[in-house]
Amino acid sequence: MNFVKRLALSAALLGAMAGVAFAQSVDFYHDKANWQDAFTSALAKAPVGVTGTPYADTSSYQAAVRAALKTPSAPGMFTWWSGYRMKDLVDAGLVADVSDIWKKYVDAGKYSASLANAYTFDGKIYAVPVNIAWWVVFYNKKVFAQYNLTPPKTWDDLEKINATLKQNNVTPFGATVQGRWPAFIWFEEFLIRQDPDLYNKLMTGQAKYTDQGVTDMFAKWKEWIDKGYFTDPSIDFGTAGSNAMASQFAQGKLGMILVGTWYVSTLTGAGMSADDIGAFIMPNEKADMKPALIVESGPLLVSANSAQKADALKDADYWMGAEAQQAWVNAQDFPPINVDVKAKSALITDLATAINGGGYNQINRFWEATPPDIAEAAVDEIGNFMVHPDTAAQTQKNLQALADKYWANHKP
Amino acid sequence: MTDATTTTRTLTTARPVARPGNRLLQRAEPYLYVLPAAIFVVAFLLYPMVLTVIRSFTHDDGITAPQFAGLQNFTDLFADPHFLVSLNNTFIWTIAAVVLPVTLGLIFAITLNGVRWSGFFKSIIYLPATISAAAVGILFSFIFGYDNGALNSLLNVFGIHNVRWLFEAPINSYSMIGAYTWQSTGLNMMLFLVGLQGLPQEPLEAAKLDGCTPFGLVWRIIIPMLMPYVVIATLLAVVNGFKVFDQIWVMTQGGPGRSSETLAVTMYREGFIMFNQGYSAAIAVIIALAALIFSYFYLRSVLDQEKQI
Repeated sequence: MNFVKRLALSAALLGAMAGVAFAQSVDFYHDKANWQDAFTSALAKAPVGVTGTPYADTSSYQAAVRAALKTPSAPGMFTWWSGYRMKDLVDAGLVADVSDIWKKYVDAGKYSASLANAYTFDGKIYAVPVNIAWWVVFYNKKVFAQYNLTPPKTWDDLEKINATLKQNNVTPFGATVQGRWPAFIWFEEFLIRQDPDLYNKLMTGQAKYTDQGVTDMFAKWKEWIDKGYFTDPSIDFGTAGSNAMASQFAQGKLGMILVGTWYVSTLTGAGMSADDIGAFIMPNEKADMKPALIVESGPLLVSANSAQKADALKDADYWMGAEAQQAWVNAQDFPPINVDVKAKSALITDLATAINGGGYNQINRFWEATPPDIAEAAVDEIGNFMVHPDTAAQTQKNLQALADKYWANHKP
Repeated sequence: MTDATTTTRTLTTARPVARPGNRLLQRAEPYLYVLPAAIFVVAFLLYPMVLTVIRSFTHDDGITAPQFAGLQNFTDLFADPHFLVSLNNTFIWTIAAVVLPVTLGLIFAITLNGVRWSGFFKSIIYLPATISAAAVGILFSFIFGYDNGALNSLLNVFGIHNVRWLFEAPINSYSMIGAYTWQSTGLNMMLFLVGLQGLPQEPLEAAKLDGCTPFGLVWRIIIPMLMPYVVIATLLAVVNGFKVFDQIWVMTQGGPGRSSETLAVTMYREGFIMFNQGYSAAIAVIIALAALIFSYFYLRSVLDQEKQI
């Protein structure tokens, strides 16, 4: 009898342990370690529990995810990059079709269908949005007030602001090659302010980096570098821990930073009061052009081969809902994308009002708009130009060589 | 006779009869001890090495099925200007890794050997060797920083303008070699101290009695006797110089404009950023071949030394 009791007790204990060991959970990989707490709070009430796995280094993150995606042990969900950056995963059948989730929310009027464009391939949608970021200029309100400056309406206004700040020993703009990728920030910005059509064609191999429009862009960039309108290109940006750019901005030594809206929390983290941060959208260099801004769209993907796929799809559905999105926006101060969600700060609310009502031409960020084979190598070439501004012609040739190599074997 | 017979019988019965299975086990026993280590070496060293060599003859993006490419990755490598810059930087690194840490290690070892209070200085010099290369990279990034770096702040005191220690070639490679030297000198010093303590005293005392100067003692007696240690330290430094990666990745990521890449950095960049894993494997094969050649000389030197002992 005793033996039977012990056996029953052991079985019950094993059952309980197995229950713990095999409790349903969706693995969620991402490379945004400083967003981990926000992810946790936004997904706290997800239908299937989520276990976040943040990676500190983006390249090791990409390698780990790519290696895992072919197997059933792939994470249920993971963050990635949109456009060309997710195309090879889609082509290889490694990510799940989430068109049904989108249909539910778009039909209910909760999301704009155009938001899915960056994740759509051959009519199917392969991601839900993690965040949308607008690339705007953040400025230090105290510095602007000190020198009687107001956000510019025209390119000439912007040039006057730069000149005024420079005269007063304040560096107008931050620009860096630290972390490699930030080198594309000013490349794309100068180009869309002069010729957005050329930019779009360049991204898809329908124009050349040696075209006159690109030469003009580099000339303007060099002019600003020579005038001392930028920080030294070696300044830390927070990509490797320290962040001298944010510190200088907070101290009033740097007037403006052109960056995605996700940078607000970095600025406040550097000791800046949110009330002292203003934002404006860069004016076009040519006044008759349609207003434009760079948009970054971060996707969350579901692994097609993962054993957790069904649970991950339920969580992806929950993620797009108002409850998760409100918690996410509250934690990160990101622009809301679900119509039922309210922005956290006045800064983002004002930007949303301006952008939604301003008829802006929203242009894809360089990192996602052009194939990674070109983008990854291009940032090194552009970075070299930033350090040595006299090398523009050679930089253009090197960039075109990269584009030629890629487009020779791929269709735009 | 009876006693002897009894003894023989006792011994015979006490000894178990060796069955064929037991004999096999006895023969296999030494191999079983080695087996766990052998499995690890095969699984985590030889197997990946073979895979890497195979992959170097393919185009492989890590997602789709690899395609055989013959020698194209290798021919492409030598036509790639960035690879040639990387090869040149690796050459500079290797020379510097030999000349600076080994020479300084030898100088410190000879200077501090047997000196009073030397333990304190030895500890100070050895301490950096206990830090990881990545941590050294972060530490020296603060020192070499452009705007707020300790070195530029110091130079500013003397009216010297900021220098781009990490963002101008070739000064960025030299700066990183400086950090590498700071870290690896201590280990070389310890190696030479071990050698110095094992030197026979008679030749040294004889030389002193013959009126040999301190410099002559070092140059003509101590260094020749330390030569086996110098060879080992040199060959180790060559192999380490060839493989250097983490410190460069932390400090410059090979930039700006790929100007400070070494072969190991180029390999990582191609494999894990560009996902040209066949091309990356070809670079790995070249690094491995170079390291193998130097390792051969290193091992031969060590084995010769053991024979002498």
